[in-house]
This record gives sequence, C-alpha cells and structure tokens, in this order.
Amino acid sequence: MADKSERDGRKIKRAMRNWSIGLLLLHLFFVIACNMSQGRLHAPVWAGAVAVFCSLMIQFTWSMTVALMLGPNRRYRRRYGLTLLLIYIPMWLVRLMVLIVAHFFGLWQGLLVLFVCLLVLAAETIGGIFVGLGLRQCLGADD
Amino acid sequence: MKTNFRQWGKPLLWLHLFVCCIWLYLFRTHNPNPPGWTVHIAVWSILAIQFTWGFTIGLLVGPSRARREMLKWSLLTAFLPLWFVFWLSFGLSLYIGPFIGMLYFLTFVMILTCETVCGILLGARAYAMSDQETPMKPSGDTPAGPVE
Repeated sequence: MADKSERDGRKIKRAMRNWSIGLLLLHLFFVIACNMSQGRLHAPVWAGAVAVFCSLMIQFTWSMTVALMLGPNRRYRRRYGLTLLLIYIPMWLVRLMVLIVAHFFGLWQGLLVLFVCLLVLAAETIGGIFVGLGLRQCLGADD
Repeated sequence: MKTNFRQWGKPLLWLHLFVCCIWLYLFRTHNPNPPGWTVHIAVWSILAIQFTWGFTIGLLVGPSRARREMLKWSLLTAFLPLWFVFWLSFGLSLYIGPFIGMLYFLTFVMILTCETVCGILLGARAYAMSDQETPMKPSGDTPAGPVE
C-alpha cells in the first residue's frame, strides 16, 4: 500500500516536472522569438508571427506556468508577482496600438484603449492562474 | 467606507441594452457612413463588453451557489465580439491557412473567456462587498437578494 502511494507520488512529481520544464522551454523560445522580431524591420517571418501570437496570449500561458509551479499555497502567494515577468511582450503591441490611436483619434481615445488593453491582460493573467491551478489539481499534485 | 454596488445593476443593464441597440443599428443600417460615435462604441464593445457584461451578471446574481446556473447569462452578449473574431479568423484562414486561423480563433475565444470569468468574479465580489442589508433565507445559506 505504501509502495503504491510512493509510486503515485513519484509519478505525479515526474509529471509536474515534465510539464514545468516543457512550458518553461516553450516560453524561452517565445522570448527569443519576440526579442528577435520586436522593433526590427528585417526579422524572420516566423519570428514576427510568433511575436504577434505571443502578444495575444503569452500572459495567459505564462501565468498558467507560474501557477502550475507554485500551486495554491498561501506561503508562495507573493511569488505570483512573477506572472508579470513577461508583461513587456504584450505591452510592446499595446504601446504601438495606443500610440497609433492617440495620434489619429486623440489622447483620450488612446488612454481608453490603454485601459481596455490592461484590463484584458489582467483578465488573461487571472484566467491563466486559475487554469494552472486546475491543471495542477488534474495532475494530482494537491491531493 | 463601503459602497452599495448593487444599485449599479439596473444602470449597467440599460447601458448594455443601449450597446446592443447600437450594434443592431450598425447591422441594419444602409448608411455607408454611420455616426463616428456608434463605430467607437462598437469597437470598444468588441474589446471589453464580455468583461462589463460578466461584471453585471456577477453583480446581479452574486456568489450564491444556489443561483450559479444563472451565471450562464453572462454569455448573452458573446455574439458581439465573436462576430468580429469569426470574420477576422475567417480572413486569416483564407490568407494564411485554416490551421493558423483556427489558432487565432481559439486564442480570441480564450481571451473572451478570461474576460468573462474575471468580470463575474469582480461582480460577485462587488455584490458581497455591498453594505446593503440582505435578509437570509430560512435555510440560512444564501442571501435572498437586495431589499427594495
């Protein structure tokens, strides 16, 4: 009986480690692709495509990764500040959009767009944290 | 100082009805140049209406488990952003390929889901934070709603 629970625990630990390493490597790739393309005119097309895609959803996937690694423990709640580590990637696109809108429609419209974009990013972060915690529970790490 | 957020419910409902009327006007009008402010509201609602509508529903329904089924109403306005997202993804799938189009569609749906969930959470939190006295049901588990 003890052997079985020990085996289960090892299996869960291995699954958690695999998920965490996979997601961290994926985000490393995202960061490299974004740094290759953002603000450069002659970047590879694939890097530009990844950068646009990342700008839309990296906040979600990164929050999911952080929540998967940290879990719901109150002790680690301060470390959830790490979810904002990659915020500069979507903020690049947001800044561009705000500048364009502010230039053509005025400062107030630009500020409104900035506010709405920040709201969407915050929603993505919270949604990602919930999904990460749910995934952790599915893997059986919190049992 | 506590604020009574629950009194925002009705104005928010009217506001969303107004936004839906504007969308209906933009769908039905034959005017090639509709008023600029209607276009602004439509664009704004593509981005944020799921959040504000989720907030409204969360505020009206509250955190009670007994009424959790009613939170489905938060999907009522999903067709507004989804209409735009569908055509955007359709255009992308025509030009870049169906796989990429589908990927973008899923990403936008994920963003809309996050907005809805966060709106509901904030709305339910605002409901719970309101200082309005609410009578308890005989079972004592959930508040019956605001006193008129």
